[in-house]
Amino acid sequence: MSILDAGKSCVFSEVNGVLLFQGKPAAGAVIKRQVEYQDKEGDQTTADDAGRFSLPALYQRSVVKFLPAEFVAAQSLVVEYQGQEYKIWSNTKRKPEPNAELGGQPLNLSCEITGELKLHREFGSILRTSCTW
Amino acid sequence: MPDLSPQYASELADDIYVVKSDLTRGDFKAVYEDDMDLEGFDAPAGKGALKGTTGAFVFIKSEHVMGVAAIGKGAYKNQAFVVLKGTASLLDALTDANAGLKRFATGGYVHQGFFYTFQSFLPHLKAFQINLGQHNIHTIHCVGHSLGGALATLAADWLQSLLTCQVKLYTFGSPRVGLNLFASQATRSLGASNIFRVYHRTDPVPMVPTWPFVHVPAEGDDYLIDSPVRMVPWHYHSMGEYKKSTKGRQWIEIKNSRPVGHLDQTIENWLKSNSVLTFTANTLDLLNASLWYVVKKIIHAAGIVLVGGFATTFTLLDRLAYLMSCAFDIGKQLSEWVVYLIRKMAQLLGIVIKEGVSLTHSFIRYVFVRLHSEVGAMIRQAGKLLE
Repeated sequence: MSILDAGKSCVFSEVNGVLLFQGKPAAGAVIKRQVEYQDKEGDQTTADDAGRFSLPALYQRSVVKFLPAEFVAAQSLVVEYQGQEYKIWSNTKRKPEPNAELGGQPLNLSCEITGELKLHREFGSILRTSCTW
Repeated sequence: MPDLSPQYASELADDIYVVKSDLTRGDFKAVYEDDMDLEGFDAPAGKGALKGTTGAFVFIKSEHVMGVAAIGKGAYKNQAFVVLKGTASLLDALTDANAGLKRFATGGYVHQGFFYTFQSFLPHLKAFQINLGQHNIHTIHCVGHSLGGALATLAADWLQSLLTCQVKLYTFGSPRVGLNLFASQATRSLGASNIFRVYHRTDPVPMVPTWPFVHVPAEGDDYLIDSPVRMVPWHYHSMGEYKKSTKGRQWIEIKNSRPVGHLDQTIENWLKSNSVLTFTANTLDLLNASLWYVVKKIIHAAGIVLVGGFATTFTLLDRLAYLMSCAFDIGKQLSEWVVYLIRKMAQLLGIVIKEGVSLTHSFIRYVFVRLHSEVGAMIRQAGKLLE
């Protein structure tokens, strides 16, 4: 993020990941991303034959320019595979810096989509995910 | 009756922010469902409180979730929680020197911005309070950060006025809520030992609104935590920093490590020096200590009786405001220290004092207004940097 982007906040960092369904690549799975900061927005992508997918970082400009507030960006990743939906990521991003989700490390995820959501408190927020990194 | 630990209270005050979005509301439940009855809590928010005689009550202001009230369970059996989150929308009003006042239900005047926000979720709080009767509750914990702290203060005072169980209040970086009558009434009603007001030394929010607004507790102890000066003045207002400052600590530890005030000798040296001044919370703090030092000298000479809390809880702006309200002619009491002090303030604000100009009441008032707007600008600038 350059100094010219100073007015914008990273609401969802870039994600690179592999989706697995019962240990095998979830080829063709659709990953739906939602984020809510000042506005709610969403996008989606499809996993390739190896289950790989990537999503670009999302930035939002704040409407509330002159007021101080806690940075609170709600995030969710839901995978649609063979007619079923699986939530694989539920998190609240509490810092505007990229990769704040995992305390600064890039979001290179490996996700067993049938796995249980595991609670992570070590990054200063409430992160529940079936992914590992 | 048990207190929440500093760490638990600060995590709660931080985690409540995730209820803002329905995408993540379930995450709050995942963390707290062993401690609170959060049945139906993550269901899509309808209009008003979620219905039912058990489960959680969600405070909603129009489309905006303000917080949660829930009955405790497990380790928190026979206890209840009211947790409120901060919102940016009221902060601008805090730096308005002409803030309106409203008479609160329990007596005393409070800031009208807090009053109206409180009124907006009062029907839900009432429903929760009525529901409490079936649960044999002995303690209610009211928790909040920033403006959520102000709202938690109103909620705690309101609940305590209606209930015989003990209400405890935990706030982090809360602004002042009301005037002296409100603060002393709320302090008396809750008991000073049941109020845990935590704030960083360099957090600007607890400095506003300025006197005659005063903090709860009106007397007794608060939990002041030392913090350094940062480029972003807002830094030590963030809940993340409050979590770090309270992690693994006990209330008594925090109290015992309260930063000591500036020593008179340090203040004298600073006042006499010609060091370059930048406008930071630390400079304000030093200026504040200096003003207190000077005011003590003046007041001692004039034999004036001070209002309660002046020595311990007033900030620079409060002291200036109070000084202005004093009827006596400050000019007659001027000592060399007042001259030093005014010179420092003027230097800070870029005002040039001509030789021989009289440092009158109106000049001090001018300095106050300028400083007040500088503090307001500092708060707004900090917010801008965060976005």
